[in-house]
Amino acid sequence: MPSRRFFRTQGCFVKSLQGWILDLYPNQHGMTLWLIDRNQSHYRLTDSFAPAFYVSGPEERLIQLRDAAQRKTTELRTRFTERTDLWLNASRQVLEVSVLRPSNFIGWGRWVHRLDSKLQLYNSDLMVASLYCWEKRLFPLSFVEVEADHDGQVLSIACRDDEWALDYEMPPLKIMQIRLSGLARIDPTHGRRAALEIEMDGTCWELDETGEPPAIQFAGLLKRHDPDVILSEWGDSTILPLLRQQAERLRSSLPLNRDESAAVQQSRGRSYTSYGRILFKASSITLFGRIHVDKQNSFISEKCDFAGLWELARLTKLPIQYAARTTTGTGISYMQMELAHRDGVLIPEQKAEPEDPKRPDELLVADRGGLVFVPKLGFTPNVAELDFVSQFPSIMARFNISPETVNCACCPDAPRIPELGYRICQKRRGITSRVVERLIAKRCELKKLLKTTPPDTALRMKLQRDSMKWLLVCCFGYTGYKNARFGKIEAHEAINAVARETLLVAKEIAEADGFELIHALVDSLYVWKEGATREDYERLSHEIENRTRLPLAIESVYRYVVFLPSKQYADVPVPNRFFAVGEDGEPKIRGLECRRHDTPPLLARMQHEVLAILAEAHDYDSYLRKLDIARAVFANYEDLLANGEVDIRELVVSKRITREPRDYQKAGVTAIAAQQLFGSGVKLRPGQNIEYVITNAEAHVPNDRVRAYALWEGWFGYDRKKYAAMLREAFEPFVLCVPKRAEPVLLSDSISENDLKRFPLFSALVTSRP
Amino acid sequence: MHGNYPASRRLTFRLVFAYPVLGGKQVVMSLLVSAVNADQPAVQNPWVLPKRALTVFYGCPEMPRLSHYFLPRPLFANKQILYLDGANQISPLLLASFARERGVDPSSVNSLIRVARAFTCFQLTELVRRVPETLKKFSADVLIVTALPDLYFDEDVRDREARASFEHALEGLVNLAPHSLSVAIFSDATSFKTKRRDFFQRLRNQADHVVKVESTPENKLSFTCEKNTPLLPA
Ligand SMILES: [Zn+2]
Repeated sequence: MPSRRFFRTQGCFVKSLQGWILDLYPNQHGMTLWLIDRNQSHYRLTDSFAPAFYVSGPEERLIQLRDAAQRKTTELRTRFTERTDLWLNASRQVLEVSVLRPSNFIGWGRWVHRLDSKLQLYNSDLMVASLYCWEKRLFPLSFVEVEADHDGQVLSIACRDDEWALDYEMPPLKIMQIRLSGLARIDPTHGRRAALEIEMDGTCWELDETGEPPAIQFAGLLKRHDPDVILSEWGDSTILPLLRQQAERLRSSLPLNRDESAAVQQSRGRSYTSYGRILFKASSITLFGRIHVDKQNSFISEKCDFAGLWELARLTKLPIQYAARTTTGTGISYMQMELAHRDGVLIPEQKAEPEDPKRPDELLVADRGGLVFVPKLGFTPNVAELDFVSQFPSIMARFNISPETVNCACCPDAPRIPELGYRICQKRRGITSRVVERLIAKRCELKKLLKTTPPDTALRMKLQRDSMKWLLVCCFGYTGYKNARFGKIEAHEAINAVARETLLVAKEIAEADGFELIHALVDSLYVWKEGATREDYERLSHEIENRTRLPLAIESVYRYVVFLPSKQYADVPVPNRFFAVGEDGEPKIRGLECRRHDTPPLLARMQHEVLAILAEAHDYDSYLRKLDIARAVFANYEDLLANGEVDIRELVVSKRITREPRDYQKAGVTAIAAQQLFGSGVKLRPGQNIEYVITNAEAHVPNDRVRAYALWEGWFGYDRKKYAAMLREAFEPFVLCVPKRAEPVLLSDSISENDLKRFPLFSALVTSRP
Repeated sequence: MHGNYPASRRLTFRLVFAYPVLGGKQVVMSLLVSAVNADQPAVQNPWVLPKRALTVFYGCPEMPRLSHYFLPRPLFANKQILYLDGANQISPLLLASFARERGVDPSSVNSLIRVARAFTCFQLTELVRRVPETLKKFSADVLIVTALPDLYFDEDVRDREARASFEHALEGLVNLAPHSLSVAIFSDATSFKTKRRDFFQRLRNQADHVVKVESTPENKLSFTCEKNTPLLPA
């Protein structure tokens, strides 16, 4: 089927197109849409659109606003209308303000604020692209049919796609990859210098300063290949800013955008605090008409590749470049807001719904988190892990827990949440419950489909499922999160309370059936029974599922699990520090060094290698045999370190700095490395990661203790003693469950007194004997 | 610091209520409470909240925790307290321990106090604005607010919005005048690096009393009354 037809209607040429929406953003007259068709051709279109926000307040003030808008501009259209207040579940009169120039949408909201700060604004700070999608029932990467005139003005647009579809066709995108040569995980803004590598359709170019300036070469490649997507590593913070700077110096054009009328959007990086941790949001480069995704600055594309990112953009209706860089929490928030918008519910600018006043003892109960039963330390064979599938979202969906349904005004006699006594609305289905319900259903259907799909498609579907998992994970946090539009702490507390109750019920059922609870943590249980088969565990799982009415699945029946104590205290069990081997021989690891991002690769490699050996064991005896082989592997690593044969890149430690380099008071290794980078002109912000190698941890002069990796020069040596100690510590978990080997006996009968006398210390021992 | 307030400077007097400070901060606090002498006249006792007045306590990072030590006196006089916790620092366990120290059943204390936490400045403003409504259901004699204006320094919130929200909170406090509440605000605003430091000055201007709480070099807490409206000529 041809994707493009021309025909004449009413005296002008009308183009009929079919294709996918690659990019969309507001312009002065409506929305710019970039369409890609099956032949990889692209079209720039404009669709008329006037997004609206709403204002509430006393009627006379709204009239004043309406009059002021009429006097001030022709860009605004106003009318009185009614919309619903989510918390009151009642309609309220508001002034609807439509903005005829959508690119000024946010600005007009601010103008209203300046005019009268007493007025409440709704929908005024939403992304215009998402508003457009909601109104037109489209979404990024949706397949659409468009009729447009000669100038690209859209006459009609219809979606021929469904964001909830399990299997869908994706546009044939032209993807250009750009990266720096060398170690990808080292932040190049810390001084790493490398050549620029560009790859497209299997061809690779390396651009450096020896030939024509890279900016000019890159511009040539862009023009020649005209990619739809630039997939970079460090493109946001380093590559594209540097190329732009160079192009500017040379007064040469760099056509990063396809849309020549738009300027490349470059945002600055900043530090911020989230859940008590200092984090860093890197700068970003957003393009128009072309997509730029930086793998180092995109959680979702790092975790779930393009397939996950596409799925996320389709479901959340956030423009791809924004979806790539924002948190999945924002994604879920936009999904909630879309439903709210469809229901005619006002979307507040800020989260202002506070906690209801409580007694201190009520607060104490409400504030409890998830339930934990500490693990039984050591080696246990044949343990099943039973997980409540997406437990928090399932609770929200199953029990209709959503911020606006908790303690609603309309259901005083509704059933109450255990422990807390909160009521849940029985008349209104919660917005969050509706969102998670659909996500859970889609994940389940994909899971079923996965089993019958060829490997290529199955991998894509798995990534789609994973991206939805991240959305669901955020759902729960978002009910209490400080920036969630529809957040209310009581919803968060109610979900936690139901989860605790559920886990207790599951524990009781398991124990009544003769199983021993080895460990339980929030939504998963580790159970064991002498000689239990998989069928026994399945029966238990069904029984719990039936009683709790929440989906439960056997994650695995492990050949064995080794729960480890805290690093500080050898007899104190801690959740989430263990390793286990599944039925299929796959190790599952939590809390070991190899799971952490800051661990030197050498340590992680040693642990993986050792675990691969131990994974062959089926029971305790075979574990002991395998451990002997593992010890030999470990000894080999120790030798490599001691002989100085380890590649320095294997020893790089990566740490997040929590303050400005100058603000560190103590000379810890991270502080010293941060100050070295700062001293060499690198701008560092709290929340950023830095990389270093320990050179001599015990050196008197702090600067000699460590070296920032970006400043590494061959003549530095690494601290063999320190790294050997770190390596030993990383091997420790594998021997903890094994009784210590007997110490060699010094004064055994096999050593003669004469032998002993040859050694001064031993002879002293001998002579002191009575 | 004092130089910033020439008008009140002349009237500033230093009340030295010094209590021994030993070791960690939590220990300090429990010592402070046991040192309170309930028989002292109000003007000399820093732990007494002035009646029908807005008092701002500021000066050290432990202010939200310090607020707890102002609670036993009204609680044991059977007064009701509404506690709006912008700092998210309220400790029900500490309140219970106060009760037990006095040989009182903690549940009787629990029935005299209502707590609502705010995690954003908008929520804190909303809580303050809703006080008259809350008072209809729970007639409090004392209102405690923590982290005002500290919570409005959040860099995630745009300056204009933070400013507007803060102004609304101040208005909310003004609107409480007919309710004859003792209002105490506990703030650590002066330790923030922010361009919005003027928020604290606005709050100061609105307050009837401003008390600076400092830890002295001799490891003691001192309370300095920097503003005392009843003493000011009209
Ligand atoms: Zn209801």
